[in-house]
Amino acid sequence: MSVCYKLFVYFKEHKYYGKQKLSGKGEWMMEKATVVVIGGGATGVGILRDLAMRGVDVLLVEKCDLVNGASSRYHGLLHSGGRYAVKDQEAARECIIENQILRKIGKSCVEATGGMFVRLDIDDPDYEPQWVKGCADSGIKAEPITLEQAFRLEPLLSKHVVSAYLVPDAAIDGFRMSWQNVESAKRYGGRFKTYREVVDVLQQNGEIQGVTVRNTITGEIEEIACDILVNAAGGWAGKVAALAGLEVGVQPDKGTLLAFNQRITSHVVNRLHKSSDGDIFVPHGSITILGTSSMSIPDPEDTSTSREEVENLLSIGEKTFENLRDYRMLRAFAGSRPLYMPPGGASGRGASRGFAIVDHGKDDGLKGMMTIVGGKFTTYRLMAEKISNQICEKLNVKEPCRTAEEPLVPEVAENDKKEARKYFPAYGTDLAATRLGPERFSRVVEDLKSHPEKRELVCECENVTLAEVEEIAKELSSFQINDIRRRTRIGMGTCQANFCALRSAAVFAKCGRDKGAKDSLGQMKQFLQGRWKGIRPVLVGRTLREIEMTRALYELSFHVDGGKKA
Amino acid sequence: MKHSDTIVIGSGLAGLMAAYTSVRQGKTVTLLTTGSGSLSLNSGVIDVLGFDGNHEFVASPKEGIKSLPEDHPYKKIGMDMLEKAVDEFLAFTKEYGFPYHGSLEKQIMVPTAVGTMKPTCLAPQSLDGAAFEGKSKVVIVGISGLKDFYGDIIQENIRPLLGENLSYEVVMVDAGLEGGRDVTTLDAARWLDQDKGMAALVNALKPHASGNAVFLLPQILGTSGESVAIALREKLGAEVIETTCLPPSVNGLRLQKMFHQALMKLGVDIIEDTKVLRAVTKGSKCTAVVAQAAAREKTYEADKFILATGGFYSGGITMREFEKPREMIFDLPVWFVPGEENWSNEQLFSDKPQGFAKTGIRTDESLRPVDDSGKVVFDNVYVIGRNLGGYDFCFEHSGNGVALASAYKAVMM
Amino acid sequence: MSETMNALQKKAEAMLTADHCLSCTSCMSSCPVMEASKEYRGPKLVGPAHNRMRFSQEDVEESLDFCSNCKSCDRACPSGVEVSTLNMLHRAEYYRTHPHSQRDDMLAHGERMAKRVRMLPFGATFANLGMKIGKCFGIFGSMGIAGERDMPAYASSSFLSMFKGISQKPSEKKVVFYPGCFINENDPEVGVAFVKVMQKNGYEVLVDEKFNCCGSPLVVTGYLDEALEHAHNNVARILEWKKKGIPVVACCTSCSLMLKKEYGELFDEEEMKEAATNVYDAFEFLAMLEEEGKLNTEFKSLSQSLLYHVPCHLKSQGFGTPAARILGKIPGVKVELADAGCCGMSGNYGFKQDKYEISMKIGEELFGRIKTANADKVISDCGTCRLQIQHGGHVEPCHPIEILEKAY
Repeated sequence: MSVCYKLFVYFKEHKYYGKQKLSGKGEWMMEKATVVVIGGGATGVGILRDLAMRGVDVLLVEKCDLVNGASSRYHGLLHSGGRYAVKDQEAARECIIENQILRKIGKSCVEATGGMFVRLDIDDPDYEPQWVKGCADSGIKAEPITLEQAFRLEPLLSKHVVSAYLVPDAAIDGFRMSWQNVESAKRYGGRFKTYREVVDVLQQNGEIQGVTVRNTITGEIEEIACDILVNAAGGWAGKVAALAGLEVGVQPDKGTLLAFNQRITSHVVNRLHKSSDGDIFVPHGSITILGTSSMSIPDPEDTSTSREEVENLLSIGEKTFENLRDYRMLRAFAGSRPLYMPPGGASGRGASRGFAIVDHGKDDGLKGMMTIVGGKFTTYRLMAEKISNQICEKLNVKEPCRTAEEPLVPEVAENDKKEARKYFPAYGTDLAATRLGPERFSRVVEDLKSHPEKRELVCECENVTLAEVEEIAKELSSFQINDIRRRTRIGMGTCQANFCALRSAAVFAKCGRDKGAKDSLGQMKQFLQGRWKGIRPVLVGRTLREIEMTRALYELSFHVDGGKKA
Repeated sequence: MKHSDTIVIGSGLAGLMAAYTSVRQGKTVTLLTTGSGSLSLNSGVIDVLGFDGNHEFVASPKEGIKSLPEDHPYKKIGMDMLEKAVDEFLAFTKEYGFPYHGSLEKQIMVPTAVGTMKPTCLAPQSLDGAAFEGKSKVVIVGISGLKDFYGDIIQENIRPLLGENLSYEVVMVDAGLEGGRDVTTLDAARWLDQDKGMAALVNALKPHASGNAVFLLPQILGTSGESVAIALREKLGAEVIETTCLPPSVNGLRLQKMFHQALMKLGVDIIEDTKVLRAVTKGSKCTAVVAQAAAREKTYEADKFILATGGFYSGGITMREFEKPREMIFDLPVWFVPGEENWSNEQLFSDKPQGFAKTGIRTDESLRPVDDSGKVVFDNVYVIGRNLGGYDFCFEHSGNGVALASAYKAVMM
Repeated sequence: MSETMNALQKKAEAMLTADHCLSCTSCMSSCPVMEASKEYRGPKLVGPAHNRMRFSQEDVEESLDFCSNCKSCDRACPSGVEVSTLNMLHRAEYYRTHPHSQRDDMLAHGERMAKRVRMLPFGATFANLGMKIGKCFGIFGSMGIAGERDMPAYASSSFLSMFKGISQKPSEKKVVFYPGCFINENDPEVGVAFVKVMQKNGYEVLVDEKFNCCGSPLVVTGYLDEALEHAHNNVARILEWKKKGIPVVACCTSCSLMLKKEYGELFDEEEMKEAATNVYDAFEFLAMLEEEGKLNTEFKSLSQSLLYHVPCHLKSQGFGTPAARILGKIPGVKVELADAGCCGMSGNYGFKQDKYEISMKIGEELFGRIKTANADKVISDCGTCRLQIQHGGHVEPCHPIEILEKAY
């Protein structure tokens, strides 16, 4: 990029958009942070929080909305470690420790469903004692139960189950956990910018100077100066490293998952066999997620899913739940795990689920740049702690890590929830409280109290009130209805936005701060298109019924393509 | 066994039209239904053909049909039957007090709940956008608390279509519907069924009626017929137009109600809440169908069977596994587009029809089901409406037209 | 696989009919309570939608109380969701942790009350007098029972005692008559008419005093465990008769629906489904005779115009309206279907003070039809529908079997 162009952009930015702050002397200043973190996934937000809590001036940039990659595109399992008990006991031990920590600090993100490992008659019986021993050695409590108990807990289980154990697995909401990290970081001065893609890494004399980012919505360019740059871009980490002229061995590994419209299970249900595709069911709020496949892909952006992958998951999943094909699939989705590839390593499921921290100052002679790759959601906090320790050492910050002790967000008090029940629709209060956290929750409650008409449900499937949608629609980080969706769960239930697409477009047009919010037809179509992406690969069975309704409403009755000459 | 001349299975628009046409032909008719039929979701306006295969707007459905491919249901039905079906339907709506108008020569433009204008062929007066013509002011009428009708969105999108030489305003009317559960268009329509609702609405709108105004309302002008629309038009001294809406679709329900009244009056034996399970056949003839009643199956004999159980939405055609579509009663061969890449488009809304939407049964010229080789499977079974394959009714805007015309033809065969 | 496991698995599958919901609103369009009241949030939300959300917290959907179990939602559903059954299961769940009111106890246990009344000499007379006095002094009102209504009066003698006085021509062909509480206690003439009609068709009618209330009033009031006890008793009796090859026939459509369908949906036991196959509604049974050419059609001319209100619980049996067809064969009889939706009574629903207005509002269309049709007689198969027709339509309706009996 030429200097001229940079100056031009700089000038244009300041003149027209005033994105940067005026200094006391009335001069424009470039945005600065001591540490810039690239990537708004679990690892990135974990680092943001950790550093902010230690008093470090830290800014996170993300090219989409937060938690848009693998941190939300996975099965939402808070591992007990049971899954790694045979193959990788170090990972298993990390999991069980982090599992306990996350339950404590992120109460509203974790649903303590408990987990069950079931061995089917077709599974290798020799694996079972190995697994039992592995759990014991790793400190994971695996309690054997009778088949009768297993069926009482999970009535829909296949009759081919021959043995069952309970483990402390849980379901965790990746969206919420990550957002709450950001909320927590904000309280300590941490900053974040979404829809900012890093397009250049600025370096001088082997030292990091900052990054150039492009606003992916407006196309505007801005520069952010920093001392330390952390590449936590997950599956994109290789690409980000390349911007700095470095090489990081990250193999994006695509995992495909299926979402079912009901809680088929009340526990996390794992097959007790050597880890494989399609053998975990995680009840996740109102739905159940079945995962995960594993496929090496060249491009982390590739979150497409094919019919073959769906078939593969179904045919394995129906071993554990025989009537699986009769349950309504909502959608399929995929995320790319960032598997770290040390030179000469294995790929795919064989690759390590462990993580690595690369200090490019030491390894590549680029001072101030670090990369963190690999790992799994369950251990995101530990990963953040480790790299933050290294960063703090460089910055000579003495504050210890406190992320394991302090809850992410204050809980909504039980009394407040009790009071709020008067205003929320049935089965709505607790969910709204966990989604919103105390501040927003109390604003929403006030709104419901003073405006009873806002108790109207925008989303009747996931029970989301108008007041809550308005609250989130107003936020500066809401650029699309999809951003509201991720925060509220509108459009994620039975009808997959058939009814709430119109309603949410209207709310967004009214309350949205971004000027794009006013394009109601465009927003509506984009929202439905987002749903469509996940529906397409499972366009079979009852999913076909729902989509025939979607099209009859929006294409036929509303003629949303009304731009066509007519 | 109970014997009828004709058994119609399904009570969507196609099934109702078939039952009506058939009983008018002097036949004894039994209508077997499960579920309330799709009219409560259907805008109830009769699209015949709005867009051609390239997604180009079709100004005259009659002309547009000529360029359709040979395997399109309209080509089997034929223009003659389509014209007669339209005549029959228009006469029916007139006779039973909720007249539709329009012709195959040109489109009626209907305003939608998002402020676009959708082409249709036959519609009741209250949904005809022609009333915008020559007006200088559009008054968009919202009802306080009514979900699914957003004046701002409508204004935003309809302005560029109608032009800036008109003035626009959004008026909110308090119908006293708030304070309980969420309010639907059906609630508001029931409010207007009552004299006091009508009086309140007139009061609220009268001040805005000056200056050559046209009122654009959600679909709330009464739950039956057009009497509410007429009364409002008279009392305001101005045109009133309704938009399409999210379900419950009041206009679809009006049409459904009118058909039900007609069928009852004409003596069609309507057996509801009974799912037809299978057919009893003898060679290439179907002699009876077996339906599920509470605790037991019942057998219904007839000379002729008309299949109007719908497509994927209604469950007339199902596909539990990829590439294995099934018609659930007669196990008729179901035609579909094979291959994952052809099954659906990357974009939900685009200039290409969706492959999956064309899934359905292929027929001969008489609308009898045929197999892959074109051989008629049953001599006395006729397939109509969304059971038919080879067309994407959403993309073409052709669903209700195919329903009416195929129903009419099946009866006449 | 143990029995328990089988049972558990089935139960879960029954609840999963909610998974078939497309959220299409067909049920909302057809729900009579939604039409009459803004308090009920509607079948889609209260039934399948909430069923999905019940994992989230212990909660009470207050408006579930407004569901009348008329089953219009089930009939409207294009996907086979057992909406009303979900509602009744959830209602029962609620009453596991909440006390019943005295009113609900009374409305649910009509059979118990009747037994007590019948044990006393002149019990029925005194009870009827008591109900009149109770009404005058507003005692029912203070209990939460609609003061506007008369409680159905006890007949001077019950059907079962009247039955003993009927001399029948014995026959090889037999049916067991299931009178149900209303016919037995309040409207025994319907039962008597049924016996006469069956005799004219060559059948001997038996009764089984071991039957008890079908449980419908218990189910709708949330006494599901008690209803299950009734179900077990009745199902065992029905299966006994089935073994002997003798079908069980009911004139009350809510009873027959309970025995034929609702037991299975609510409790999902195999024997219930088996027993169901031996139970018939009276006109369903007669229609089957007709189809076989065995119906006695030697009718007298009656010269009567009839307006037929088809009960919701008959519509839910999925065999149409054979009474209309059969009565239509009587010379001089003209049958018109009222086609006015639910009458609003729905068992004991309309007796509840807080539901009275809704009940009457739902009935408005039917009352209007009765007025304009100006028929000689309004007929309906359901006892509580007839009470509503009497109360709101100001006519004296009868069961269609009584018309048929007159025609022989």
